[in-house]
Amino acid sequence: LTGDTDKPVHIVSKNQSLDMQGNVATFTGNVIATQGSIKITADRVVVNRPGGDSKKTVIDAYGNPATFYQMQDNGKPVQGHASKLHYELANDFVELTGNAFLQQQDSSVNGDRITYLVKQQKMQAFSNTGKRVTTVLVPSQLQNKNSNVQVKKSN
Amino acid sequence: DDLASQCMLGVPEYTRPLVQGNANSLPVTIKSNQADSKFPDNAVFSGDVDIQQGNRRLRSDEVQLHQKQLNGQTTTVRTVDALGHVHYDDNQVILRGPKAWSNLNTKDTNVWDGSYQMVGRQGRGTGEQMELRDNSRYTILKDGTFTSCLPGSNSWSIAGSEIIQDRKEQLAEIWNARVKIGSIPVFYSPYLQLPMGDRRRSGFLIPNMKFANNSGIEFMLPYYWNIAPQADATITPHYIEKRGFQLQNEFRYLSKAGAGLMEFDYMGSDRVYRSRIEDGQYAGNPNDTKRWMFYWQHNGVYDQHWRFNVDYTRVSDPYYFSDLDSVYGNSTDGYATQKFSLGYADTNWDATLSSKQFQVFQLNSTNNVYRAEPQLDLNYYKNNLGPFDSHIYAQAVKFTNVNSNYPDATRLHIEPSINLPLANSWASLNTEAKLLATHYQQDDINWYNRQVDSNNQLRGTVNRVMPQFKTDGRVIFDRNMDWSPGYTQTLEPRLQYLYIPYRNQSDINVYDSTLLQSDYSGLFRDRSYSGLDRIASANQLTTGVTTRIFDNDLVERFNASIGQIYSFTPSRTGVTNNYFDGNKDNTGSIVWAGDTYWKINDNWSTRGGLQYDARLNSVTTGNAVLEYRRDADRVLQLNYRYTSPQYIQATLPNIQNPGYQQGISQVGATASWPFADSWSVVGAWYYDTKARQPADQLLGVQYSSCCYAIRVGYERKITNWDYTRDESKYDNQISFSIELRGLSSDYSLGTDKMLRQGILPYQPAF
Amino acid sequence: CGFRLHGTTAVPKELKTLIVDSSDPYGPLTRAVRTQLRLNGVTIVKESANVRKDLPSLRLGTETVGRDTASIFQDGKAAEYQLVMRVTAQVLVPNKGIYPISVTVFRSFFDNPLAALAKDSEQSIIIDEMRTQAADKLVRKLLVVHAAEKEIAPAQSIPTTINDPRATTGPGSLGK
Repeated sequence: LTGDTDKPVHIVSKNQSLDMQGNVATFTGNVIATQGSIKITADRVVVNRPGGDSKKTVIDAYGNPATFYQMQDNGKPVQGHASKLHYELANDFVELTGNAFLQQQDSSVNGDRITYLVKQQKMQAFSNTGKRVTTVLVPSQLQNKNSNVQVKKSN
Repeated sequence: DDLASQCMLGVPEYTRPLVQGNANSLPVTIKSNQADSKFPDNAVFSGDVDIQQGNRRLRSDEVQLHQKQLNGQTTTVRTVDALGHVHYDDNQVILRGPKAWSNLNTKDTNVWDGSYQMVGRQGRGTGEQMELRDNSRYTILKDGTFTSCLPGSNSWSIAGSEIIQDRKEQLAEIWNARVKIGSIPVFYSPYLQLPMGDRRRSGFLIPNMKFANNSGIEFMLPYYWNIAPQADATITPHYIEKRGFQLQNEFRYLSKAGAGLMEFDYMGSDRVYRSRIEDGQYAGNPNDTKRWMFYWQHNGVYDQHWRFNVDYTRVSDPYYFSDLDSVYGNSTDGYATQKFSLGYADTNWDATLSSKQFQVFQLNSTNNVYRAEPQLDLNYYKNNLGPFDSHIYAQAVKFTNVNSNYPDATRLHIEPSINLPLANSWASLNTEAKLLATHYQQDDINWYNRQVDSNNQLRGTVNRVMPQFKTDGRVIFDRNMDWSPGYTQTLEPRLQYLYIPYRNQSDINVYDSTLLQSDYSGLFRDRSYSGLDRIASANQLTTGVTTRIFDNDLVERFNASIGQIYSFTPSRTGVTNNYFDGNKDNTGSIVWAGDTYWKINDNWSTRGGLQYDARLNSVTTGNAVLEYRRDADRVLQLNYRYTSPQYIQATLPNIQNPGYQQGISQVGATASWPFADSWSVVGAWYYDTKARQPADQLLGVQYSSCCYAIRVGYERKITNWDYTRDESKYDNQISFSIELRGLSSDYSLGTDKMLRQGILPYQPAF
Repeated sequence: CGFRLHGTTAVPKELKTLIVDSSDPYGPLTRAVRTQLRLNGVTIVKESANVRKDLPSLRLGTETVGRDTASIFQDGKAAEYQLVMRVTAQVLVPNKGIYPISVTVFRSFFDNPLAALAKDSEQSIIIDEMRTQAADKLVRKLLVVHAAEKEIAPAQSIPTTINDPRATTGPGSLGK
């Protein structure tokens, strides 16, 4: 949703470690980070706030997989997962790498690396040589009936 | 067979598992090296893109996906544009081209200036614009081509400004059609239809082209009309270069009262016919050269009791079948039969009302042709009257003659008979007593009586009553054959005594009686003449013996029979115009006949028959057949037929065919052999050893490939007699025909068609 | 010379009583076949096949007659015609199977356009005789059915009572 980035960031985890002057916080163990409608779950999350400016916060989440969820203005969520999530709040830029998967409305993509500009809803997916990006478009009637997340392994 | 399987090798098969269900409910999977998308409207996939939905698959270098939410509708309309090495395929067709568009919801797909190939069947081509519509039912080509040839062979193709192939109707429609052999256009038509399968639906069938030296180029374009489930017709405009334009119409029908076929061929004017009239070869009126033929064949049983039969052929002129080809008659026919019959049959009686007339082609006859109009035949069977069976046969018939000088007659006949059938598993004895009572009413007999000598004068009314006694016994012995284990041989002696008193029948004219030929089974007949006008007296003993050999599966592998008629008193009818009748020394053993059959092994078999007549002191008729037959395409048959001249003169007294005085001695060979699954060669050669000239020579070669078949035929046959030079008139015919193939499931090598091409068509001997 | 009265090549015992059915029950072929069967001592049952399920039945199929020119005179006109009659039938033996049989009869006769009506009556006499010959061959083909049957063990083999001396004593042995 627009305005998510103005919301405070709540992070829950088993343990945390803080490096005050570097403005880097590391959370490990069932980490759940939320900001407005954005929700990230991971095994390890590193929150980096360069110069203490919360607007420029950068979240790097690592998991097996780490998941990402955000509600769109049109009421349809965007969700995804990957081994590593890199989320730059300032320019609403999300980068999923390593077995990345992103689902949005009635289509889902997976590949080795997916970049997604949440505001402009622009997505790019890449695959290493020999590997392929797979996009699945689900016919809309089906999509309304069961909106469960389609987990697709890229080959 | 082999050709079919070879052709199928060149045709792509749908290898993916067939997905059932509504295609719209299936997800679309897109694989690519890279994907850039601007949700939700469009996305670009690049790098070896592979889109799959249900049975459909689209591959190309790059694909642009557009998604639009139609206002008010929930479904998003997805269309894709594919660029670079586009390869589309589903379970019906494969399309290739540089550029394509597809609507993933409606499945409509376009591919630009590319090529297409049908799946699972022959059929391919190119197209400036190729469109798939209605879930791949229609393939619509703009400026496209079509051929059924396999990739790599461009034997023929049809180009059209627009081609619509309808898979459900199995029909291709082509506008501005240009038929090309290789790359040379040979035929143009504003509109052309091609059948694309075996489905029965109205439309043009595959055109056929032929060349024959006495008729020039012939072109046939049959149109099939599927009138109703039980009726259809084929209308074939048939252009014959040297003769003119003929329309052949064949109508087939099925009904509760039986199935039938009607053919009406019509030719407005025949140039060759007119020239032959003008130079006196044919009799006729030069400015009326219409030529037509009507043929009707019907056989049917209605409600198990009613029986309808029609066998009717009528032609415009006597030379019709010698000049024009028709399936319903050929140049050897001497007359056309025109018979109708209506019958009712029940458990122990039946009645048949029929009318029979004939159109005789030979002009030099005295036009003495009798008709039976109408004829009523009645049968009544009453079995198990105590140990006896009884049967009453009755007939009422009116004979009229085409030449009104000849007498007309009404004949009433009744024939009650009673017989005592004794039978058990190894013998049977059937003793029969019969009374034959016939009444004739013969009208305008004066002209006829003036033509004949005094003791053959006809009388107005004639009554003839005569008894007949017959006893026919046979015994069957069998034994196991010691020199081939498991085989069984039978020995079946048969004895028949026949007594018919003499009645002078010289006052009765001949309407439907002719001397019957006596092969072995004919020896045991109780009649020597057909019909009823001549019932010869008989006091004869017929003895015969048959031996059969059964193999260990009890299949009859060999049989041989020989028999003879021993006559105590000469057979007479009171008419003294042939060897067999009234000749006082026709006693003792007068006729011998035998036949044999031997199935040597699964492929080789032989059959033959021989008759010897002591009254003519000569072998009268004989024939023999040896055949090697492996399958319908691999056949070799040698046959020989002999008939002595005396026998012809005796049995066909008023015969006029030239050369009959030498009798028949015809040796024949027919062979057919395929080569390399696509060539088949057929040859037939018949030689008249008495006239020392060939009767019929035929050679046929057919090359069948996956998408066309070429048949070349040569036939040299006797068609007539040259009365001026007193020799047989031969006709050479070279025919060349092309058939488009691969559209239907017909991969035959054309062997049976070629084998039956000649005037002496091939008959399997077993 | 070893010949004895008709044994192995007679109509087999199990086909001595049978049902005859045909799509044209009152037609000439059916009548010819019934006559030939009676002449070979076979009793024909009136009931239909679905009434008497225990009896074998002979079901007559199609009868086709072809006519072709066999030899010609020197003016190219037909001298002899050859008639070919093919009759197909099936023998249904209860719980054994269906056996297709077919017979072919060849006859030839001289044609004479100047006596067309008489030649037509000759042809119908010959065709009637061919029907009798075909019926006779069909009856003899019942033998082939008999031979084929022997190879097939009867469908439900009647369990024989087991008092096989070799059977080991004690019920246990049956249990293994």
